Amino acid sequence: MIFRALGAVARLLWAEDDERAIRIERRGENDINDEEYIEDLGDGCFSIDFAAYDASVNDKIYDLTTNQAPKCSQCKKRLPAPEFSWHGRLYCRRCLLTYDVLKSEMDPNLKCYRWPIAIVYLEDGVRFPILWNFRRDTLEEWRYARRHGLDVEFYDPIGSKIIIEADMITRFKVPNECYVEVWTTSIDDFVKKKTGR
Amino acid sequence: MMKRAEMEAHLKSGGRLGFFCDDAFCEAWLAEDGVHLAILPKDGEEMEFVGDLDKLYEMQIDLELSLFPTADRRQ
Repeated sequence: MIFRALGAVARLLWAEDDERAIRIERRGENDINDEEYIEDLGDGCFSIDFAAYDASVNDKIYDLTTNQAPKCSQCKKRLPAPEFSWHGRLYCRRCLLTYDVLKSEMDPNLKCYRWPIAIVYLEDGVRFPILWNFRRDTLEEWRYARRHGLDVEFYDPIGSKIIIEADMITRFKVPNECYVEVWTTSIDDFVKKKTGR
Repeated sequence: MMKRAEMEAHLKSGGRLGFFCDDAFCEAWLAEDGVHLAILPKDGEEMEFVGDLDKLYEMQIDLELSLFPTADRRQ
């Protein structure tokens, strides 16, 4: 009984500590498109413009000469570089007009969801956008990882995983009217998963 | 870029829409079971798919296509 009570107190203390450490701010989209969010990351300048994020992601964020370059959703190769974005999936020139891709992307069952975006603040001043509560509760995930000294997993606005030490995160900012369009898995991927083809 | 309502009106009036995607000529038309899309690559076999107007409209936006009214080139 005592242990159970102590556990409850400990959980409360942790919760209070988390609440102090983290602030969730909700603001309009305009607030995060201003100069404040222009960051210097290494050699380049990274400007978060959510309206143009999908369109610019190939040219401005990834360096195609490194292993950061995006893969074609179909052939999973980085070269030739995927030039086409269709329903949020990237395709190279060789794969775009193939039967599987066309059949999959033209399927009326593909659905689009508007997904909220949050900004993660790190202790070194770096900020980056993530999908908020994508697949899991973001805050719960972070709290658990922080308690256990683990890394925490997020997804960027195009659905790629970001893994980072939970202790490095100082704040989340969740704007009110900022979202990306996330499409359901392509029908082709779905069939592959089901059939193991 | 063609508006969705314009595409719908043109297809419903029996017209066809053509466009070039990469180096393939593509053509869309309305049939009883939905919007048909034929892909005629420069090299390779013709492919035909059945989708709906929304998917054709999204394709136009995502792949930055220029659709235009066309005569049926396959006749």
